[in-house]
Amino acid sequence: MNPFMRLFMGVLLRAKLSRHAPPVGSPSDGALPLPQDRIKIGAVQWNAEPVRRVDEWTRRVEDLFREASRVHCHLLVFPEYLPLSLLGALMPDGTGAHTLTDATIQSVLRTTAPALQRFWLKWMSALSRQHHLVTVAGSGLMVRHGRLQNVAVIFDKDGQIIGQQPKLHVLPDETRWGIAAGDTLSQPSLPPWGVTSIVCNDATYFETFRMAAAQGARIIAVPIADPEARYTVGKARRGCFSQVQDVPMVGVVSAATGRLFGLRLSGKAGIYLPAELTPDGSGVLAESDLPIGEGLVSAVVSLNQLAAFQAERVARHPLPPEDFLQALYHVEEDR
Amino acid sequence: MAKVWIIAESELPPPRTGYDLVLWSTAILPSATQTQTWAGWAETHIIARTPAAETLAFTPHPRDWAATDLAMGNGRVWRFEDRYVAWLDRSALHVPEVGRALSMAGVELIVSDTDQRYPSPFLDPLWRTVQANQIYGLSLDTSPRLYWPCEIDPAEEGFQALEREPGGFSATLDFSALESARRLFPIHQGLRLDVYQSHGWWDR
Repeated sequence: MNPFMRLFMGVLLRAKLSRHAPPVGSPSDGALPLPQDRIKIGAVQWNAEPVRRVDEWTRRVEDLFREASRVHCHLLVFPEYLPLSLLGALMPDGTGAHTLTDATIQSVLRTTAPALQRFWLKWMSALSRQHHLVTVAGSGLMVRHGRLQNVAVIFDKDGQIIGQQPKLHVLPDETRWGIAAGDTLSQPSLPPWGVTSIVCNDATYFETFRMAAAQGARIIAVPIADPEARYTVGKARRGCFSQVQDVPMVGVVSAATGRLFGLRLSGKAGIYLPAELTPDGSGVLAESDLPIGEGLVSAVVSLNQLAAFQAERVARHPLPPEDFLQALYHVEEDR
Repeated sequence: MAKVWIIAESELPPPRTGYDLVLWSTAILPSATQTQTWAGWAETHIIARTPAAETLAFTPHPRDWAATDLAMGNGRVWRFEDRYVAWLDRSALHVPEVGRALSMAGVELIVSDTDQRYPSPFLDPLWRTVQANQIYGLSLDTSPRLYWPCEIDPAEEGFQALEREPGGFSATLDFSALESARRLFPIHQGLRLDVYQSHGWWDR
């Protein structure tokens, strides 16, 4: 893409987004303090298809906040690449997006990332404050230290950013689009909740959950946008669901679904626990009925019950010795 | 391709040929001589193991089949047709590092017997190990199951019940298909050893 086109695209997107200001949030004075044990969590399933109008995106996000508020959630989790649907305001139905070269996609993503980031974070901050909800705002593209990264962001109920986490395990497609992996896992936020967020493919690796658990995380949010045209339970269960069975935590998956610029996304929003902590022994506390569409699932989790189970699990299945793990994750000089 | 016969009898059935590997989870082991002779007649590798982890293993030649005892978990590893097969206790697989270490060392089939019935295969730690490392798993109980990577399962669920036949069950494993799975979704290539090493969750 030539520099003129890049400039034009950036200016046009900023102009379109600037017409939509978020609501002025009410102060959180008077809001109830966050509970220490039993917390209600909401997980969003999002139709990621490009929006033709910016206010369609804002209305749907507001509706989801309103619904989470109505069912008394304390924590709300949005999916991976939440702001990307806004590009529909520039490229209405993504026509021909699948024919773009990797270099062009890379250029579009990098050019539009700053404006999308500002808009997305401004709205999520305002709505978190307005609804007094701790919010994992999903993930979006950001240029950080010159590198394009896919970053999850956490807001407290006053709308302040309390955590940012770039994706650690980027997919080969993302690498081709110029998205760089993060190098470190951030400390969890809001003790004693211990909320942390990772991004999509990070949940393929139990090591991510081990790191988070060692840092004190108890709730791990996983915004996803799985490029799977066909949803199967097996593939879905390989991620967060599997990892919390061996590394006990509350796993919260928020899924983007639908067609997004040539990609067909499927997935269910869900709240997962070790099977022993779910009433029916399934490991699934709440989950969307269908792997496409939009909505919210919610459930109450007990952090005290989880803490007791974590202690019992560690006693029953202790970590391997340090020298074993040092050798397993040894980084060779020539890597 | 490797054709596997899982014996579901309390005694060794009459030997028959055409298999590459025979697995037998048994309450009581027969004598070593009887098992060795059986392997020779059946012209196959055989591993017989009790719940107490007493094990006999012979090659078709028939000779002792040399094994390495695992440092972690109660189990052993054998070299089989240029790859490795491990048989270990299911409880060891609740520590996912064990499966990771085995697969990174070249194990492509993990065998594990259990008396626990999992309400769903997705709750079986062997299924998780198989998916996390894109290897094969054989779960031996009253209804044995084959676990394999979702990428090479036409149903994309990563498991299938084994076919019943006289004397037990059989399964055919195409080890070269594992390479296809790893090409389609390169899990091991995506490991961030640098990040894990710098976080070192083991020294906290």
